[in-house]
Amino acid sequence: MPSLDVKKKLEGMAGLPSIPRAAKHISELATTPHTPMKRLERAIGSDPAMAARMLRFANSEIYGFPNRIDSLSHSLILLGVDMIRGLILSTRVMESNLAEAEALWRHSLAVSWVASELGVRVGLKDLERISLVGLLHDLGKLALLVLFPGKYETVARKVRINKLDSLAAEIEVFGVGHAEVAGQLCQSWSLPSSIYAPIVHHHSPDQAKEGFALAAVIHVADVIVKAAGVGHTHDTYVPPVVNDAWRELGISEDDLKEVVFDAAGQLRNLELLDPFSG
Amino acid sequence: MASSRDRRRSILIVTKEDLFGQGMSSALKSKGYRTWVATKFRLILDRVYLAPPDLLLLDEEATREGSQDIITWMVAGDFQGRVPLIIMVDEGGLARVARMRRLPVDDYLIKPFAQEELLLKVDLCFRRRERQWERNPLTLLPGNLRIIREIQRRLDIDEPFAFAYSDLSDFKPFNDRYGFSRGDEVLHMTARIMTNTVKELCQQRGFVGHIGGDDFVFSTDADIVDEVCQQMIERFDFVLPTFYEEEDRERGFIVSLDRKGNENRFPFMSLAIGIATNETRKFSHYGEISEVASDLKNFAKKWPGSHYYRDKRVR
Amino acid sequence: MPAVLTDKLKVGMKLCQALYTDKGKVYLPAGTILDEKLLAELSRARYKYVRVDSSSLSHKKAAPPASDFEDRLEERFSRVALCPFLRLIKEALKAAMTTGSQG
Repeated sequence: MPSLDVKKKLEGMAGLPSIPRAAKHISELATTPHTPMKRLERAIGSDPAMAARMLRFANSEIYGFPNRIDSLSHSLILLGVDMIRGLILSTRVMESNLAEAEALWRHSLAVSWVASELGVRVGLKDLERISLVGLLHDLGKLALLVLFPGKYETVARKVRINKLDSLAAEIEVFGVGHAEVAGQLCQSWSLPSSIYAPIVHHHSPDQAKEGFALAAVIHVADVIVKAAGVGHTHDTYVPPVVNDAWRELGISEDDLKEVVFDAAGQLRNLELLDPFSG
Repeated sequence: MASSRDRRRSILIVTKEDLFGQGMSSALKSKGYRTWVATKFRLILDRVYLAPPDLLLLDEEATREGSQDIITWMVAGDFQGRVPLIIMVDEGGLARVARMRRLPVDDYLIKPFAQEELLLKVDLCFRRRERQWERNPLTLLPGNLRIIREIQRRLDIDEPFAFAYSDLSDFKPFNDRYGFSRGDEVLHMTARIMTNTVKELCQQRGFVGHIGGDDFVFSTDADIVDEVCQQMIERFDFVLPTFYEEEDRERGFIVSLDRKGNENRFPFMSLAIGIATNETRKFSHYGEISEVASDLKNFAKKWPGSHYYRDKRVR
Repeated sequence: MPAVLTDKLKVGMKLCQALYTDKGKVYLPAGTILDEKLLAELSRARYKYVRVDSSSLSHKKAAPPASDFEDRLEERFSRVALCPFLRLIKEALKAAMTTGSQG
């Protein structure tokens, strides 16, 4: 029953809101004459809601290639400067639950970064897509937080008191977890499966029919980032790791140590990866 | 994509007076139009971006609430052809309409108006548009008639400009391997990249048209045509692999049938562009300049990969 | 050697990894010290972030006391059975902590 409710609300949702300082920073770049496109792309690529917005419009029916575009840089080229500017200036901004949204955003940024580092070491080629999927992997959480702020509070309480991991708590409260929610969103936005499959399966890479390696990389990166304690206000516990994920990735012990070691240092200096601060 | 031609036309009505809007809406619906009433632009931006209407009925008041950008974007259009605009004013507002420079207004209605008048104006507006805005049914870019008219206009005013003729090498084997609908996707992508690049570097002075199949033309100021072509080619080559399956992307070629029906290897598609300018020689009509550009395009196809070739014979 | 977002680079930071062009040529070698001109170039380039020498970072946050960190680490891992993989992660995190590494 509750999952039906979620589905209905998702269908009626206009788009995900950006965190205010990201929206502000990106709008400023977009309205400054002669901002290099690469610079704008990096800023957009640091905010999950804004990046998803670009992908969604690039994959919309009117352009004639739905379910095809799985890269942010391609999306921007295909949308064109005027459209990008219009989409940025008309974006929604997060108005409540800012602390949670910011924490979630930091977590997403960290996963994006750690996933890229892991991806390189296990020989994945499409680095841009790794970092994009890493950035977007918790879109479902953002959606739940925006649509059901009150109920999301219940999830947070369950995590704290019953010591559940967040996915399990969401399923108790909503009847559906954030990974599935993200999947629904991506499909209703006509995003290609190369993007949504690894997002849907970032907690269950063993069940991914497509894009196992990327789902596994995101899964492991998510575990590492949570272990390092980054970006959670309610999601306090390291989630169980799917055995197949790290075995089949074939990442060596030394490589893993290095990534984790790097990540630990990096995550303490997270503001260096934060394009919207200072 | 017959659907883009056959689907019912959609009309967006923007007015602060909701009842008035609903009244117009039901009259238009009875004639088979799809309608959509909004009191404020800001509330419907995403929908406007995702599915621009075929006609905009705009209450003059709505032009004053800081929505200029989106209205301009919509009616200025690009590859979709611009959206016709009928503005609704009070009797005293006519002078203001006459002064509207930023908004390309197609027609007006003086409030209050009878239903018959509304329906007739809308119908005439679409009919006029049909006559003037002939376009390629797939990409919605200007088609042959408009291309000829536009290029002839530029030749006649005799200012320096560049005319480019372009097609996709190895498009046919791609279609054979992946099917027509994937081929159409690539044409959409090409149209999009051409339009964006020309528009970004040339603003309103650029022009892009779709002759048919994989044949496109565009026109820019003469002094920046090199930059336009370089950008276009770079973007095309960058985005193109997305339209191939991973196995083909990995090996870098496709296996398809050649003209004799034998299996053969084919490289990825590439963009070939030939450019003629009226800087170095005189052209009097479209046929001449298009023939020269097309020959130069065939010359550009002699090398593997995407290339443009510019007429340098007379300097 | 922390990664720094390209937009956050400052004059005087030192690259500790070479940057390569798309075609695989070295664009900037490791050890390059960034000046204004390079910063401007990098802001237009495709690199999302680059690695710099941690000693060239001026600001360092005071790390919380190690014991605190270990308590919180234990708490975070308290819900999962420690498979060999998670143990590795945990040990690596501890190691990073005790060496007080900045990257």
